[in-house]
Amino acid sequence: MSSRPDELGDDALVVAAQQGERQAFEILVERYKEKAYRIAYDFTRDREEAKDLSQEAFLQAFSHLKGFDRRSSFYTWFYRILVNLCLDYRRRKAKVSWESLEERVEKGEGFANPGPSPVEETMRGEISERIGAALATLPPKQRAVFLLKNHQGLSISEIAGVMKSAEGTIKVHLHRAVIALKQRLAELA
Amino acid sequence: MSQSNACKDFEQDLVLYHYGDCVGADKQRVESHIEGCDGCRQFLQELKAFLPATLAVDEPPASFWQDYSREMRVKLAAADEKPGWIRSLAALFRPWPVPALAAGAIIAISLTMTINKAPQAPSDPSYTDMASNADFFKSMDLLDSMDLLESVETQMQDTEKSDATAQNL
Repeated sequence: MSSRPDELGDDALVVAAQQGERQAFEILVERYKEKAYRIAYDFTRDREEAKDLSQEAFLQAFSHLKGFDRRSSFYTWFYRILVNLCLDYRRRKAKVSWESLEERVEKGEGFANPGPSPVEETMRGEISERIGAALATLPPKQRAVFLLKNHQGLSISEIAGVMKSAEGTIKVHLHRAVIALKQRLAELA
Repeated sequence: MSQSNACKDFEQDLVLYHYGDCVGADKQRVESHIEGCDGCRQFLQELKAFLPATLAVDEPPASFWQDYSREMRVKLAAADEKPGWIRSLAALFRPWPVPALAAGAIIAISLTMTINKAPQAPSDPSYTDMASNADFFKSMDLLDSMDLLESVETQMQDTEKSDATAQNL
């Protein structure tokens, strides 16, 4: 390699990692860790869980790297792994009984966080807490579509690709999520 | 937050319009509609006000990212080690496939023969059959002996007859 490893493009790093150079994959981790973390944080709203989820996504990508055919970019491929993990996380969380969830929302507590510190509370503010609580009440697919659209800025077709659903279905989920959030926030105001 | 009432037929398109995902004829249809509809115009204003506020902002400190990278390196090394160990074990046996197979076959044959030659329990019913067969063979021997005696006796009688005939002559 003539150029420095951290200056190489994703494709070259993927090829090197596929040939057994673990350091090449570590550079990919450094390159995308913040983006991955922020996506996971959108889903969890919890720092430690976001870290665990995004790290798990990197590990899964590393384990299956030899099967990655490079027809899409590394980030697109990795993004799908990460979002699927986030969706699984939401499904697990959705098993919490609705009654308990409603109770917490009424109290204005966050969903994933056991309880924010005073500093965090000051920073995030009451409105942010309420939004987090309102987001937590959305069904997993609606929430995922909303986060991918509103937070990640993906197009409808990209979301459909990631979630393996029809574009029409994605539009319906997005519409329902926005209306439900709007209504929930109005109730909490 | 006040709740506006958008026209139900336009609500979904208004959400898509807000995100820039309403294009072409649909976009023109929405734009011409909101010009004359206060409810839909207000709905759109509300979306613009509250949707950006839903973005979660988290800025972890530098130490968080250092820990993140260090943990990832450890986890990746652990993930890399496991298949490496399996690979090295497999490589150990790779130069010896034919001798290993031959040794395996010899062991299998030896075991099969040993098991087949193992003494059978006395209670095995086949033993009783064999014992009864022995009695049968004993009786067969007796019959053979009787046949032999008869043939000797016949020979002696024939000899005596021939001696008598010779004396008469």
